[in-house]
Amino acid sequence: MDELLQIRNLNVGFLVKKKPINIINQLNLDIYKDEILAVIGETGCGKSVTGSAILHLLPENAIVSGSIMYKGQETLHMKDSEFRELRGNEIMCVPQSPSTSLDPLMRVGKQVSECTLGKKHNRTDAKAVVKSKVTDIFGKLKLPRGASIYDDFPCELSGGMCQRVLISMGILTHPDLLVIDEPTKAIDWALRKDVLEILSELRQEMNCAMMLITHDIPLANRLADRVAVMYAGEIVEIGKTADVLEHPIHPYTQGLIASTPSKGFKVMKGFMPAFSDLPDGCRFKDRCPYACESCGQGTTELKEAENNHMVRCNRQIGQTEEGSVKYVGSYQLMQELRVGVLAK
Amino acid sequence: MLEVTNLCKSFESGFWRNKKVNAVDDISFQICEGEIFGLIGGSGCGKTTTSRMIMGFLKPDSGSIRYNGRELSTMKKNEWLKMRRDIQIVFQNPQMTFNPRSTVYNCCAEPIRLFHLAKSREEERSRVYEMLDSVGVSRDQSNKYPHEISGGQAQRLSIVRALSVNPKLLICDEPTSMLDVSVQAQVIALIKEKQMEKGISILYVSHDLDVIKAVCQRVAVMNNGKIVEMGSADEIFNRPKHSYTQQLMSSAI
Repeated sequence: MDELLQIRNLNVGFLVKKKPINIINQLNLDIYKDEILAVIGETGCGKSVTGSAILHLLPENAIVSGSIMYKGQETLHMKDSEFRELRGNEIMCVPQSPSTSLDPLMRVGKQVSECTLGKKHNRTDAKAVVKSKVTDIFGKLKLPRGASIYDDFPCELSGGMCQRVLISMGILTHPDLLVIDEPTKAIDWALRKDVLEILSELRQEMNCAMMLITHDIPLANRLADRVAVMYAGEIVEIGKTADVLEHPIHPYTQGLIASTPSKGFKVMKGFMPAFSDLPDGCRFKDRCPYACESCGQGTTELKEAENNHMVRCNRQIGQTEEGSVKYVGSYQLMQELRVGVLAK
Repeated sequence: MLEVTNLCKSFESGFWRNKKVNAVDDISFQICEGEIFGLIGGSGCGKTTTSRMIMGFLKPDSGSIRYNGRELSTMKKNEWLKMRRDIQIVFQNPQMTFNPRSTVYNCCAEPIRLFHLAKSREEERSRVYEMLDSVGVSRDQSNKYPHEISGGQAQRLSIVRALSVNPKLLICDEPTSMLDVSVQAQVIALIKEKQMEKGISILYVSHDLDVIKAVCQRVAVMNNGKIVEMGSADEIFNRPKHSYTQQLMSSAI
């Protein structure tokens, strides 16, 4: 498969009170052509920061190093003026929280068409052409009243409609890469299904790669080709959706899946450490039911457990006689431990 | 314990006040002692209006809300203050429940001061620290402002704060819709744990069917301001009768 986007050794930190705090640590990630990659993890684990780093939308106090290659072109150190030609044409985003991402004083149709009207090479496009394009997309996303919604203000639309307006903004220019940030956060059950249907339709029609940043595990399960699990600024597990979500190897992924309502609300012990005082060695060791001494030393690397299924854990990989890789540690034991924690 | 009968509320809008929306239209239900009662429905179906009327933030147009035989809908403000020791609420947005201009410590100490639960400053401090410890918020975070702590921490704090006055009835208005799965599990475990410990009744308002299924014993389904179906959680989820409930169940991913 062709890599559309290659992220290598990405480090992102922020200057807080003149002290640098490292958030993203040595992140390596590939997004292939036409695939959907879901990035899951809890709030504040660095999912959205990764998305913003790809889009050059980080605030000014950010310190970024590493490399992000888009179609073989280094984008991380590009000038803003150059990158602007990519962002809005080939790389698009659907931002988080529809209620705050739209300009309240601008009609939604104009906001959607703004990104095409502003580009140099599109300036000759008559306004009417753009308008018909936008109304087409609104119709495709099943927004009620199709054309007349063009002249509405965001406050006149419901949350689900605003979300669809944002999605239409993202797909207007037929991008090759779409970064979607939390499309189903604080959204109604029925609307969530609509969003899911819209995204899966888009995927069949548009042939674009998507990076889906979410904590909605069922949504990731239905949509994504591959899933990356992030914890405290590191990718702890990455692989095909079925492999990661059905046979998770990293204890954090197991805990995350067990805490979903349908799997019975098993609570993981402890809380995510603050970025200002991360533990040495494995960042998950304080909450890990299998933690041992070796977890506290050095860095844990992402290792391949199965075919294309990478895990960042010291424990899970044991070499058997046949030379194949085997998952050591019983799931039963883990369950008992967790029940024990819950009972306390 | 709580008995809601024929409750109605409509809002008027438009320039001549000529548009009328029946937000809550003739609903009745009871919550028994020590029970978790779930209220589900899509957004804009009147769930939050109902919980606000029970808390006395909104006056109902007609109908009655009786708590242990006392009428709540006509109660005066000073009577309500005493009532708040028995009925508490947890809101949807955790960051908005705290006063942004006072520290986490002062926010948590407020109910203690209001109801004179502590005799001295030291007792107040030890009570607040106990609250913080029970939800895993470190003590040095008590001097931070609400926007500096995470959403999950704020929501857990708002639950223990609501429970610090030992209420008999807790209203949870979508307490986990802004949180992610692992934090959601922590918050729900906390609610269930406190419920078992103290035997309080809970009205749990949500649109998340999975959560309601895991938490509640009895469930009412709301649509367009009306309760369309009510029954035990098992009945509603496994044998839904009303077409709206069936539609709601089929929208699960």
